[in-house]
Amino acid sequence: MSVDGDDGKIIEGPDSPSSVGWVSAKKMCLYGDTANPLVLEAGGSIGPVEVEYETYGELSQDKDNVIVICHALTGDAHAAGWDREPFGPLREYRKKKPGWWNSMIGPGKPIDTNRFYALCVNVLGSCYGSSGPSSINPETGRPYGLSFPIVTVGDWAKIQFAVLDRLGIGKVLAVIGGSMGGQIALELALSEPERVGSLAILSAGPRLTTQGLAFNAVGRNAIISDSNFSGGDYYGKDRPIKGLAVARMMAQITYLSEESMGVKFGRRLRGKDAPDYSLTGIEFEMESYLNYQAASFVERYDPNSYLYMTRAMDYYDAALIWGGGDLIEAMRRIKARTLVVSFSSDWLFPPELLRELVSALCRARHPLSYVNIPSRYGHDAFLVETDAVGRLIRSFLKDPKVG
Amino acid sequence: MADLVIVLDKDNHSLAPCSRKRARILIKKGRAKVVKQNPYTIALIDKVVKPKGEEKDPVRLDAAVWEEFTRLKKLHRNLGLLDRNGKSAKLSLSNEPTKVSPSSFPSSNRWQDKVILSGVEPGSYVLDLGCGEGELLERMIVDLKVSGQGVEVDPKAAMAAMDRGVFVLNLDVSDVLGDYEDQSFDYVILEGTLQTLKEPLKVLHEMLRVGRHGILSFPNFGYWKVRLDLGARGRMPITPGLPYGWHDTPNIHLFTLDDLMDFCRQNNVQVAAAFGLADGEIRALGTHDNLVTEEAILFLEKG
Repeated sequence: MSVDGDDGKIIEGPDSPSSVGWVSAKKMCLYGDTANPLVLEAGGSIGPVEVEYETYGELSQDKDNVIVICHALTGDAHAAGWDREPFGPLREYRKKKPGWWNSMIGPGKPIDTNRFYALCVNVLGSCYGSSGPSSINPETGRPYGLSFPIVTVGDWAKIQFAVLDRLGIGKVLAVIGGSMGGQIALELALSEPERVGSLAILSAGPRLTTQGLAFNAVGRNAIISDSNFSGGDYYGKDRPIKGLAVARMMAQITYLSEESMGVKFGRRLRGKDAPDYSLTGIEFEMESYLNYQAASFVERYDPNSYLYMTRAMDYYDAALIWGGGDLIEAMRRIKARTLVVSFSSDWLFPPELLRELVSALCRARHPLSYVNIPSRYGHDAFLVETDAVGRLIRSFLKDPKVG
Repeated sequence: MADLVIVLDKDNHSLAPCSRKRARILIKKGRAKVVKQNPYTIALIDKVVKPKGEEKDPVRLDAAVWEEFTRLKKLHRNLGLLDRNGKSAKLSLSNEPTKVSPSSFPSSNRWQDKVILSGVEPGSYVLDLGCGEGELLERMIVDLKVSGQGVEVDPKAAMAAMDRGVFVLNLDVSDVLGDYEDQSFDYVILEGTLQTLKEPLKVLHEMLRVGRHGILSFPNFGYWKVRLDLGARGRMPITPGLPYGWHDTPNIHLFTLDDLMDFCRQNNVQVAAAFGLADGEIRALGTHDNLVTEEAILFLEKG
């Protein structure tokens, strides 16, 4: 989620031997047959849909070295390397940094592109190449806006399997995702258990907590209340970026922890020794950081997509969908080797919630690995704690012991 | 134990188990009949007579297991398990505390691991509580083709276990057991951990609930050297099995072999097999071995 923050790490250039180098987005048109559109979980259907995805590494002859990477709420298919064509209103940021999980994917990295064929699909409803509210509705010739149908995590899983079908890939070695991406990974393993060899879920639970629902509601409200929102029909006009900025500022707080904020900013004033005693200006470093995060975020994200993404996260409840409310029953479906990772200071997907998922898997007699990594970085830890996460994923993808 | 046969008297009271070989002889002589195939159980037909000299040991060993232990004994001596310097271990009776780090010898060669590896049925489902870096679990998976689940509270050790490719839950042992249904596992292993737990009895009951067999190893506080150390020095004992000082020991609930046997009797827990480390030798435990046993490992079953 902190695709904006470089977290003080050295950014790896495209020429580095451990980088996947320059990459280009790939496109696929699915459900083009008007007789067979994508039937959506929330009702209605859509077709055709465009899907943007990226791949890294070589697909083996037997197509048996595939690892599906699932992106988070405001992420995209650009998971690694440097975008060869960082053009378009929302993609400028890619000129300055590699893909959002560049530290994990590449030659010799935990998701080793010398061995694996990694694939990341941008989800439906997003604003990074797959059909979404900012896409042109072929029926009207205008952007969908809020007439774009409600999409769910289940729909996304369906589409990812459709992409795999089209590429002639049956079973995948692993699905891996963090945060919302972890929910998608879980859904992939639940919806087609036979096709998922291994499942790695980072900082994600079988559902969002009530507190999480509340945060998402505030974010959406900020966007909807923006005077530029115009019922979502703002394309070609001023966008509701003030609302989106507030949504992001608040969300950003949920990605950090009290400790990480304290360590990073403390109560330091921004570029001064004494406060200005201003109600509206920026006084503290913390405020400045949130402002900066929000400002760079609104440059690269579509407010409508934010509504769709947060809603999909809200609705996801693995127990309800696959177990009639019983998480254990749902977990009995899973056939994949499983790794679950939480972070001690994550309060968006807190360790207790992930523990519930782990407990249900235990009760379903499913052996698995679970680690609660001590970290002060809050929810963002899954992107920041690259050493620990890298080690876990590397071990997890190593030829497993039988058992 | 895989190769032990359950023996009942004619009134179906359980007696000490015997080896398959012995069972065959008894059947051939017409002194016993097979009453159950799985687990293999025989009942003595004639009136209950325990063979002479066998009253003492509740456990008979299968020849192959015995052989393994004899081999182990040698290995054990060679390893100098009792002393990090390879000298024969003698407890210091001076005021100088002796500190022996348990990690100073290769843990995969721990004698308890060998016993477990020879006692666990291949292909079974095993829960290893407090699995550390997962050496034993890995060996069981590789050698015995078991399906295994490890539990380790220390994140560093848990990560190291995951590096081995075994499944590990980075959780407290006491918190995990409630996550399992009755008899979920064939074996639940608790090695050298019981005395460190806040609620040892709860964990004991729980491990015998979720597993068909419990495998328990522990340092015996009733060992004569421990008693001597405490009695003669007047200090908390420091031995290879109990290497910590009073202030930094994780062992908060120390107990003796007899204490544990009392627990078993009171809670209808059968000791299917018991082995001990006594003066550097691994042997089957008898009922009067509290004094000579330094470390013990018990195969338990809920009766």
